[in-house]
Amino acid sequence: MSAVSKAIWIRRVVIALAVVVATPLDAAACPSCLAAEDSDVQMAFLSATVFLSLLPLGLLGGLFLWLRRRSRQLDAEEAAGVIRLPTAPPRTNRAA
Amino acid sequence: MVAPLPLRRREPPRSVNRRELVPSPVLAMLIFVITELMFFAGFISAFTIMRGSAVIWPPPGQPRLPVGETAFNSALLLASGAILFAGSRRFRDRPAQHRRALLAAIVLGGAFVALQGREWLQLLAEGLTMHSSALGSFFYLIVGVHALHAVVALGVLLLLWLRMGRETVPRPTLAAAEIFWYFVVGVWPVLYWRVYLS
Repeated sequence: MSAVSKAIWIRRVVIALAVVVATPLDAAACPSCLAAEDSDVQMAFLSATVFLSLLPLGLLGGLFLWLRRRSRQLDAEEAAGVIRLPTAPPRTNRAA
Repeated sequence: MVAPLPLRRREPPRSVNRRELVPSPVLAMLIFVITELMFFAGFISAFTIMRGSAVIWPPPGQPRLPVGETAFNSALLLASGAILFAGSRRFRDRPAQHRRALLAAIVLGGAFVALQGREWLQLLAEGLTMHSSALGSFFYLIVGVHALHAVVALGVLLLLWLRMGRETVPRPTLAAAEIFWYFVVGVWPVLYWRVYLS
């Protein structure tokens, strides 16, 4: 990049930043800003945000806890001498 | 001249006595179901915000959703899931009975899809379309995507039912398909509550 084009690029960035800083109220694109006057909508946004934030944590956490419980269960079975061979699934569910 | 490097023999992999914590098809299906849950969560959140923004609900000139009829359909779907769950646990080692429970679940699930289709035709005739209002758009999107999942899951269960009649089906494969059906059944009450009852 030449020195001239670099200067032009920097100038554009500075102008863009100045616009962003100077005109936040005119560009009320944020859903929370748009909904600021209505408590129902605010509550809807809040509940949706909380729901979407906690759901993946809950799902992955649940999966992790289930796998950990299963691992402990297999440990206990091994300690008790139960042999559970891996991989090959039992083929016993053929209908008569 | 550089002397060629001596060829190193690659050691054969040591046989590690690895245990299988969860069968691969089951784990894969669980991960898939988690992503699908996020997919539906996005729909529900968008619907909740749209519903909260609406001044009048349902939109003027739009029909009411058939809450009572759909409650009956929902009962069929829940019964389908319950029968499959009970059959899968109870008849683990009795494949003929297990196959019968699978068929019962498929029939009940098929009845749910058919009745939902009938309900859609009625709503379309009453003027609720994808373009008529935000309610129509969200209704057909959310319920339609769920119906699509139900049809796919029923197809998979039907294929497994047919396969069980002529050959053995690995248990993990069957369990993975059943998990997908439980997901279809389990997510429906939430959709019903948000879309029909809100």
